[in-house]
Amino acid sequence: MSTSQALVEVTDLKKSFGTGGWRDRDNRIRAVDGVTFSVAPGETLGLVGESGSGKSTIGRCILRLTTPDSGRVAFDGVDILALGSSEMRKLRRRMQIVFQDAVGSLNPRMKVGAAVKEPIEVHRLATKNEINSQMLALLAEVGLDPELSHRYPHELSGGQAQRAVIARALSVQPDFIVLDEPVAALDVSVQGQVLNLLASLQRARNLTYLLIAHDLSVVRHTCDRVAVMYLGRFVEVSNTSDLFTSPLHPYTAALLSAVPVPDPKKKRNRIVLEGEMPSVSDRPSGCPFYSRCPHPKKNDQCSNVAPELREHEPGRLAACHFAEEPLSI
Amino acid sequence: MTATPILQVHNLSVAFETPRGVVHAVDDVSFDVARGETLGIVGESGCGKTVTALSLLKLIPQPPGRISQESRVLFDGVDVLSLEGEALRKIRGARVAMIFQDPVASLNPVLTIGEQIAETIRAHKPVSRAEAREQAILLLDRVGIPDPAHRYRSYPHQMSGGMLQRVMIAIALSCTPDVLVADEPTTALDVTIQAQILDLLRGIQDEYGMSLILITHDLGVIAEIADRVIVMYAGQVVEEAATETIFSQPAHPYTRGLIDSVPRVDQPQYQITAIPGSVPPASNWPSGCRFHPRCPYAWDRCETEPQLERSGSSSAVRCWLAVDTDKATE
Amino acid sequence: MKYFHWTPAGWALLLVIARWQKIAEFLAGPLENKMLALVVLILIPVGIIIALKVTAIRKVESRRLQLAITTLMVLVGAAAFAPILAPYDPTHIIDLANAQTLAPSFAHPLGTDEFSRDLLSRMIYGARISLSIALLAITLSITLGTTLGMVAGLTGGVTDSAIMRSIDAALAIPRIVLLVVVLALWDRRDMMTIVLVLGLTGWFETARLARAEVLSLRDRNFVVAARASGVSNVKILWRHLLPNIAAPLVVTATLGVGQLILVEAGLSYLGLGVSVPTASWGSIIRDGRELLFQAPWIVTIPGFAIATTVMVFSTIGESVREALNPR
Repeated sequence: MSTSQALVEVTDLKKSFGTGGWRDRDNRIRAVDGVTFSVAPGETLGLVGESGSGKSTIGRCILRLTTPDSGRVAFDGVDILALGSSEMRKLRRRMQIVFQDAVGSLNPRMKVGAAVKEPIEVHRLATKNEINSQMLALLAEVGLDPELSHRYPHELSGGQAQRAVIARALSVQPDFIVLDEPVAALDVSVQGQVLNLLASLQRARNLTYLLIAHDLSVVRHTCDRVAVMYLGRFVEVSNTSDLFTSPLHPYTAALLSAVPVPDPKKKRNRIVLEGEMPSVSDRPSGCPFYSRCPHPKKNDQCSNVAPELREHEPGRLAACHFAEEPLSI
Repeated sequence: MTATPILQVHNLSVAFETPRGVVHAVDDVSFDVARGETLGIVGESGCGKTVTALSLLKLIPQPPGRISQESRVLFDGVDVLSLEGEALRKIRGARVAMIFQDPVASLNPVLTIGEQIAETIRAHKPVSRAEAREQAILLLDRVGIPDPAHRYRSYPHQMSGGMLQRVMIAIALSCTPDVLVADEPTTALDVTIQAQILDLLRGIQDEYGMSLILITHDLGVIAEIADRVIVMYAGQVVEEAATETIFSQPAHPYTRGLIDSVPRVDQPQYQITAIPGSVPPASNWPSGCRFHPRCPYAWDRCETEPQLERSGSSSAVRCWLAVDTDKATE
Repeated sequence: MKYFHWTPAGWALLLVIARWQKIAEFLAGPLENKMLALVVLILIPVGIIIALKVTAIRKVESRRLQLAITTLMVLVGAAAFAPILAPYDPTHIIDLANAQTLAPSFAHPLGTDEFSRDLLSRMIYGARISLSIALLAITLSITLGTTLGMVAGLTGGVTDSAIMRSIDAALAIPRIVLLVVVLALWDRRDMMTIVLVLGLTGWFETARLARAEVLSLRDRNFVVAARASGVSNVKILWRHLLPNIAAPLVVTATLGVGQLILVEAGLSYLGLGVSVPTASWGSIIRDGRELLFQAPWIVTIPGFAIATTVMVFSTIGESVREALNPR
């Protein structure tokens, strides 16, 4: 295998959820509606979007925690949707997930040490004698006092619990971790610690991350590449620095300009979007963003023809008829 | 700016009796709010900012809560904390209104949103049903709800979080209050909706000439909207300053740490300096300066508790560095 | 040592000395009796220790609970050591002509019934049958209900539908009708028959409870995280779900014991309990119902025992519930 090969490759992924009963198949909510991307080894791909854009569903589909309707998910060249359940369980060692709600991600009746040890035992990665020392080493690696291994999750602070969850995810020496809003529930002063920890772990262990977040500052800080989602589709995929300085899609531009910046002197061109994201069940026929689009040139083409995600500059994709004339922020 | 402030808080201390002992949630907090001003209160979970907000309207359940004897909340010269019954009701909602983080929980699910606005209007003003309804529709229009006459008959579950927060603002505006207290009003919302709500708050504030107390953990929101900022940590005010000053020259190490620890959307990647440790629980504040276990500048003097030192009319810091200028220059 | 008291210990010692002969007989007697005593002596203290531990952690005000536990210990002690404690053989007909329906006296502390059998001995042996049936049947039904309910909740789909629809169907028939029909199939019913029938018809509600609890936990992040780490379904059930749903199940079990004692008494009263002449509290009431006015004690004493036992178990159940749900 060459090193340039993608670690995770997702092709035309679709997932919908039923609203009521087996009869109304047409009324299903298309949470993820044809998404294609890949993540290279050692890279951090950010997935941004507002609530209901389908970003968390993608994370769960990749780990096969929910089964997609169609599409292909390849991990290190293996189509994971075709794997049998025992092969899948073995592959799970290499891919892990960290959720927003850290305390809820730990079994309330299991001590922290036991929780960190469990995956090691399941995958038989160490002998009985080594397990304990491995667990303590993991706690040390994520900056937790070994004393805490005897505590129950509810006795930890949010930051400590998230560190424990990260230690648990690392215990199986994974290659790939889905980070689903890993710092959103933490106190501001603790968010920075966890972000720094994730960054240093990535360097030390050559990890590949898929970071799902609604907080664009976190995404800018952490990611190499970013995909922006709107109504179950990607509207823009780009390297981080270009995306944040000169976004191609008007939605990205509006999203960026809406983030309040902790600097009162900074005067920016604010693009305030009208209305709200339409519900996923009544998707417009043309460009999904048409109803809210602030672009001055939007026209009938936009309302009738959904734009394709096309490459406009090397490594920069956008789904907009006017991507060549982006809004300035 | 010689006019008396609309709201003055003096030495507010609130404690809660819990099975595990007394929790001092808010400790000796004082501040003023001028007419038409936007005051930001920033702090992390458990710093006492929400308890402070609730105390302003005597909304702390007592017991288990206990507001100390020395505490004063002077609204237009009247001590709210000494009021009872009808007199208190006349201030609540009518002259000081509140909105919260979770609009879904603040609205009654079995009444239409219009009825809930009209109900508030009729609770404070002698108007007929029809008039109240008309005023409610005007308010819905003012807070940017499309097709207000139709939406009047909607139930809370039929509306999105952003729309419901607009409804909460409409209820708060229904009696044209002098002070609006907003406790994390945009935390549960998406950024594009947050931008809309902040715009709306700014707009109605100009229009009505209200004072706004905005409580948040988000420094970006503060920078965007506040005139003056109070930073709270572990139940105390640690710094107070004009918004520009707080961001350009933060005086308290905690404020500085907070600003440095958030990643910025407007700046390329850099190593953020996180504050070590975690927020102490309210049941167990550290002794001395409450921030000193996490403070990079702490020295032996920090074992004793610093006072909030005022400098000028609108700045104050609770830190030995501000007192001991020799040490500060080191 | 908080729960050790000198007074009851002294009484126990006196009892041992006074009934020494009976003890020797008991020890030399059938193995079955000794095994039963041993099981009861181990099981009950373990249960009590768990209850005390749980309630002590949460500091539940427990005067009522202590009283309940003490009463339960007396009842269970009596049941376990029935051969030692009972003054007569419970089925022995003393003197049909002269010793019929004797009022309580020194020789017969609780009197005798219409067949001149000693009522105290029948009560003591009856406790054995009533309590054993209730305890064994509840163990069976809780185990069955928990297993099936958890499997239904975790797997979902067809398995879930199959299990839950069968339960709905079974619950459509009133339990007592079901019991009467099923038990009428047997000619002679020993204790194990009753236990099986009660256990097999009693797990439906438990299964529903276990399923509902599992459904509420199934999508919680710690279960998803465990699955994402490759933990197998069996291990998820055993290590992640069971400890988290144990609390409501323990409560159901304790409350269920009281109910089963009532059901068993009802069945015995209808003549569908353990076959005569074996005594259970229900069958003593049945035997005495004709003599309600001539010999009221025959009915009142077992009635009082049943009421007490049911109260004891519901007190323990309530305390455990209170202890586990402080929020």
